[in-house]
Amino acid sequence: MATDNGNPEEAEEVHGSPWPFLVALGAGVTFGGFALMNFLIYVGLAVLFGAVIGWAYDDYRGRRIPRVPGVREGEEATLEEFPPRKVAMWIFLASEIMFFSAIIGGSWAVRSASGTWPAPGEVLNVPLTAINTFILITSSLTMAEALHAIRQGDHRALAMRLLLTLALGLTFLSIQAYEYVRLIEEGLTPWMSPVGPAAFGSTFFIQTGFHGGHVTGGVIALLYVTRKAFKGGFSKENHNTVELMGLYWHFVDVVWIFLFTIVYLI
Amino acid sequence: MATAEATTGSELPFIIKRPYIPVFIALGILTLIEIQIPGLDISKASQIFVLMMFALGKGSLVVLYYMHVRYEPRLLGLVAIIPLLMALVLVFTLVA
Repeated sequence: MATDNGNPEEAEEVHGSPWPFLVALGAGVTFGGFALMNFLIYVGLAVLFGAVIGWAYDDYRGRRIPRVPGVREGEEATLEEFPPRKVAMWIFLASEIMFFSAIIGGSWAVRSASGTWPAPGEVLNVPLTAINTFILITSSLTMAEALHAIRQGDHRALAMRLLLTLALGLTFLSIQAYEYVRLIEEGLTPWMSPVGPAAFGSTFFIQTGFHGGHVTGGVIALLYVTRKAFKGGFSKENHNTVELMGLYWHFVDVVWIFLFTIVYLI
Repeated sequence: MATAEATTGSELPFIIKRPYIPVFIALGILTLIEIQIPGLDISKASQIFVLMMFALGKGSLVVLYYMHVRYEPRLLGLVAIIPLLMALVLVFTLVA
């Protein structure tokens, strides 16, 4: 018996959800397609987006997995007390660490094999990206404050802080898009570089592009979470989605902190 | 820096206000210092070491305080640290 608009107090309890499995299946088939045949990429993407939409729809209607007794703030919890979705998010983030490590490590290996490499600031705009870094760090602050607000039961502060986080995320992406356009005009593309080896362009766009893709995914998820917050879909007792959203958003921030250092400053 | 705020009649007996603002200020200051390092007259190896220490420090602040790992079970920290160690092995293997 689903309820309207994810009313946290009347949410239906279900014992499991197929969506995480289907999201993983879709992502796996998509990546398999890159290695095997292009057809699988489209099949995988269709399954992936279908599952994301289905998951969001279920969540919006208020269907959710049973809430495990929460961990009170300020207390050291045991892993057994953790909500299953939080454990799943951490395992997902662990896989993301491996994903970005492979990209960054591979790029560093390419750089090590190259004789020359542009100096910091020679091609890339360090001051502009430093400002963008600060914007992403600020969005982490507003995200953390949003979670704190709903833990206190302050719905209005939650919605406004999520909206601010969303605006900052969009600002980050806009500046990155502007930077891409400028760099391409100056001759830096994934296939060539105005200074140094062509691999500089490849590694730059692969590293920052995949991160930008993750931020874009986060912004789309934030749109959903913010809309739900404005409709009163979260409460002091039921705000697991906000916490998971925050974990993902902060993770994306951490990745950028390392990318900014490795790509722009070293 | 933490301050406790009492609540009544709730599942949550108290809510800790984490040091979000001090961490934010620290991250801003570290970023400001960090962007000056490439201009320093030190060897490239030293620059890389110092910059990576800054990145590690900033990343740790976000993970510990914004992602609340400092307040979570230690086992959860392992979930983050184990792939990081594996990633380091991967990076060294690729570069070596």
